Formats: sequence, C-alpha cells, structure tokens
Amino acid sequence: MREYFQKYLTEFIGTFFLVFVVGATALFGAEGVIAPIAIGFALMVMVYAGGHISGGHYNPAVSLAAVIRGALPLTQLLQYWAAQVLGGVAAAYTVLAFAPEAVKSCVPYTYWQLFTGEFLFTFALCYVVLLTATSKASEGNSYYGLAIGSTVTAGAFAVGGVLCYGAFNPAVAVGLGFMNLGCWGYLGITVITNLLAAVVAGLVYKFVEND
Amino acid sequence: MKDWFKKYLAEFIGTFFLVFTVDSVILYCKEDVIGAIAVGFILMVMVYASGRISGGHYNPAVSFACAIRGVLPYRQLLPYWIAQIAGALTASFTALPFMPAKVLPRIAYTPAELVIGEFLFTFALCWVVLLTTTSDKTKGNSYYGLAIGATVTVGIFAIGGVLGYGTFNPAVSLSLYFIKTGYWVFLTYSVFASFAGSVVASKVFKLISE
Repeated sequence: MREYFQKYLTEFIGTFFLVFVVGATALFGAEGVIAPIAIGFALMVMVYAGGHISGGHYNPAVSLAAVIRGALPLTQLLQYWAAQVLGGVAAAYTVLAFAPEAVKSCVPYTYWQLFTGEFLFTFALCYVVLLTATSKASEGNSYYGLAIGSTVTAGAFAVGGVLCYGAFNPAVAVGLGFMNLGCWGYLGITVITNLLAAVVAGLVYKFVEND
Repeated sequence: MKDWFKKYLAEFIGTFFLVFTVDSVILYCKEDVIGAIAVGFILMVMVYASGRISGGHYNPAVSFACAIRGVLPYRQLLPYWIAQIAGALTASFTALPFMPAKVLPRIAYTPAELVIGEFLFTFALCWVVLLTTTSDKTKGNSYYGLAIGATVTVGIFAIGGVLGYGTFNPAVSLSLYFIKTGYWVFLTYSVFASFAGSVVASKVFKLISE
C-alpha cells in the first residue's frame, strides 16, 4: 500500500513541476524559443528523478499507453490519472496566484489542426516512452529521460501554437484550462485526441517490439 | 519476414516525424533558431526510440552507408528506401494542408554551394552514425542518439540556408520539393551530394577501423 502511495506522490510532484513550468513560461513572459526548451527539460529531469519509482509518466495518456503495453496494471490507472490531474491543477493555481495579470486567451484552432498536431506528437511521446523506458531490450540505458523530454520540445516547436496548444498531455490540457490559456471545448478535443494517440502508440509498440 | 516489416514500420515512423518536423518549422514560419534545434531533437528522439529495431536511419544516405559498412544487407536497401520515402511523402502531405496562405519562395543555390554543404555534413552524419552505433568499441553507449541528432543541428546552424538547404538526407530533400521550398534541379544536386558523403564516410570508416 505504502509503495503505491510513493508512486502517486511521485506522479503528483512530477506533473506539478511540468505544468508549473508550462504555466510559468506562458504567463511570466518568457521569450519565444524558451518555453519548449524549458518544458522539455522539466519533463526530462522529472523522468530521470522519479522514473524508477512511478514510471515517470506525468501524463494520463502515457499511463494509458503503459497499461496497454502491460507496464502498469489496469487497476492503477485511475489512481495515476487522479495524481496527475491533481498535480496539474495544483500547479495551475500556484502559477495563477503569481501571474502578473489575468489573461484570458482562447486561440481558435480547427478540429483537424488540433487533431493532427496533438495526435502526432502524443503518439511520438508514448512511442518513445514505451520503447526507451519500458522495453527489456533497452533496459539499463541512460538516455530515456533525454529522449522523452526532447520529444515534447520538438513537438512544441513543430506544431505548438500553430496547429494546437502543444499539450500532448491531458493533465497539461486541464492545467491550461484552469490558467485560462485555452478554451475548454478545444481542450476537451485535446484530451480525447491524446488518449486516442496513446492507444495507437501502445498497439504499434506491441507490433514492433519483440518482448 | 515479420521482423523485417517491424524494421520498415520503424523507419517509416521515424522518417515521418523527422520530415514532418522539418516541414512544420519551415511552413509555419517559426523563428530561425528553432528549426535546427527541433529537427536535431526529433532525430535524436527517434534514433533512441527505434534505433535498436531498424538501426534508426530515417535517411536513405545513412542506409547506404550502413550497407557499404556491412550492417545492412544490400537486398534490404531498397525496402528501407521505400519505407523512408513513403514516410517523407506522408509527412509532406500531412503538413501541407495546414500551410498558411503565404507563399514560400523557392530557394536557389549555386551547384558548388549545394554540393559542398550537403556533402560535408552528410559525411559527418554518416561518420557519426557508423562510429557511435555500428562499432564494436562503442557498443552499449547511451550517447549515440544525442550525437546523431546534434550533428544535424550543428550542420543546419553552420550551413543551412547558406550553402544549400541543409537537409543531409535525400528523403528530406524530396519533401522540400513537395512543400514547394526547393527547386527540383537543386534538390537533385543535394541528393547526389548526400550519397557521395555517405559513400566517403563508410570508406573512411573502414579505413580507420581495420
């Protein structure tokens, strides 16, 4: 029991910092190229820090992919999701408390833009996580955190702010909603797309990996 | 047989994301420094993800270098190229519909500029791939993806947009034609220069590793 609470706490802390950095770079006025690098680095360090305890998902979509792959028991999925979403919401309110002024932005995207951007890079993220962090063939490597964090950086550079919010993570999407950085309708599509991409990545993993 | 299809699928996915990222940063008019970092990062990530499945080439020139070096059977070269080109074309046509109305200029270079730029950094890329992923002495290292991705970042920073398109990859060159940023004839020079770089890299590799 205690072991599981350690995992939930680790997921909470990691997701908190991930969403906090997302919100801080957006609301405290970081310059253009900084946000994707900062966010990717935040994810990388938290994966390196807590990956061996909880798996280092910090992302409900990644947890779903891990369940499909068989790296996380299905009975743990809801608790992981709860820890992650709580971490995201806590981070959102912490950022909001210090945000210089209330900004409400609702960037409009078309459905296909949102779907394409979020689907592709959430797929890439889950694909990279499964192959570098859950696979027997890559056990013992030192690069998984770098690979996972950099996927988000590359995705945010490629499609973030153009096709979609660049969340690739339902917990981040929920955090964006609480920080008024997106509209709930679009964020809902984002969440569904993220989870769908996770399912596809889990199935592709099962095809390409031998274990 | 199924094993080979896994490899083709891994090459397809990796090349797709590499080319999609290249096309996105070009088409969606991101700031200058972003392109080189984003492209190097996505290559690094994909090499780490499925490098041990397919070799993680995502680049016909790299596959050619691996064939000459002897880590990829020659009869697999064509299927690898097809998977890579299919990935590149799919990515081009996924990125294109979202292109802003603004028309991008097709960029022209002199043949000498094109050949030297593409040759040098495709050589560097293949050289790094062969030494970090196919050499017995570096087996088990965790840095190969970083080294390979960073080679492309460095190459784009050094010569991209000045001495050529900075693709170092025939699949990416092909995609630049379809997203209307490169001229056919110049891209042909790029492709030849890339293959020349890969041949020289694998020959030099053999020279230093025997």
